[in-house]
Amino acid sequence: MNQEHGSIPGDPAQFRTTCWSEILVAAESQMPGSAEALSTLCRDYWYPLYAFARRRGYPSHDAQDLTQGFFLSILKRHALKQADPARGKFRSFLLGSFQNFLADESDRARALKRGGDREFLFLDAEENESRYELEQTDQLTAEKIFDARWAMALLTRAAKRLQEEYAIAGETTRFEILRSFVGVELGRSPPTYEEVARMLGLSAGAAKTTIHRFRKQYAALLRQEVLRTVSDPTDIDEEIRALCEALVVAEGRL
Amino acid sequence: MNDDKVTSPGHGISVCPICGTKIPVSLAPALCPVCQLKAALTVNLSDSAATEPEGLANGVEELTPGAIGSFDHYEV
Repeated sequence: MNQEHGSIPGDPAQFRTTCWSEILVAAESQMPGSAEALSTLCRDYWYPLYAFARRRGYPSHDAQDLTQGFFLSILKRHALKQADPARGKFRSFLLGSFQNFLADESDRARALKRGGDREFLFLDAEENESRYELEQTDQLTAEKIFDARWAMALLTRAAKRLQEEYAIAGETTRFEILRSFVGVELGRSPPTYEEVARMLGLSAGAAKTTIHRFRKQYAALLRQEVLRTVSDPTDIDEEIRALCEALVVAEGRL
Repeated sequence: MNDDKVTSPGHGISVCPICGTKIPVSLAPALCPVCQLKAALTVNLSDSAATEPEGLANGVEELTPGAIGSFDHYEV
């Protein structure tokens, strides 16, 4: 892995456009800056996992603790030893690892609960059976929710990237005027072309072109962000389609 | 995507006027996530600075065909 390219060794920014599997490998070898890059990567996708845990029936506080515990495990590189990041998608890796983590946590909790009380064990088993039946239908829904949330996180991440790029170029004001044309963070409708033209001091035609370009820049960054989450560049389109499908299936319940 | 009015089937869910995807009513219809993702699907990778008068002067890297297989000189 070549770290040159005008970046400062140890600076997490050097990993900004690096594929997720490369970041894991770098983190495992404790490359300077990689731990923070991994932390950032995890933070961006915290909510989809939290939503998954909630959908699986964990109370809010437990879901938070579990998600946090899982990411701590990732950051301590415990989970990395079980992963094969050379293949597959970051989305699948995180969800699969999280499911294993939840199963392990559940086993630990059950072991503590048993305590040698046979009657309690019976009740516990019954409860688990009911829970198992519930999970057969819930699990699918939880996975769909996770995928839809993942898509939303990607859209948010791309908007952040765009904001960063505009900030670096000293164009923060311009970004603020245009930002409501992309992403999923702001609920309000974007301004009209005329309003944008007035704010930027452009003609209506030039404003329309500017907005078009802004959206294209965003689309390119979004594509880059998707690329970061797959291991093979040829999987980008498939991943985007899968995320579109997840959003369609979620039917706006986000 | 455009700024068309959204139709609302109720229950806090709206419908994107472009692709028909149900979206949260809190999300502006012009920001339909599916439409935004589809834009990333169809972004013309060869349509780089040459067709953008100011290029990506704001520092945004636009993908080019040669960039697909690598990032920051990292081979993917």
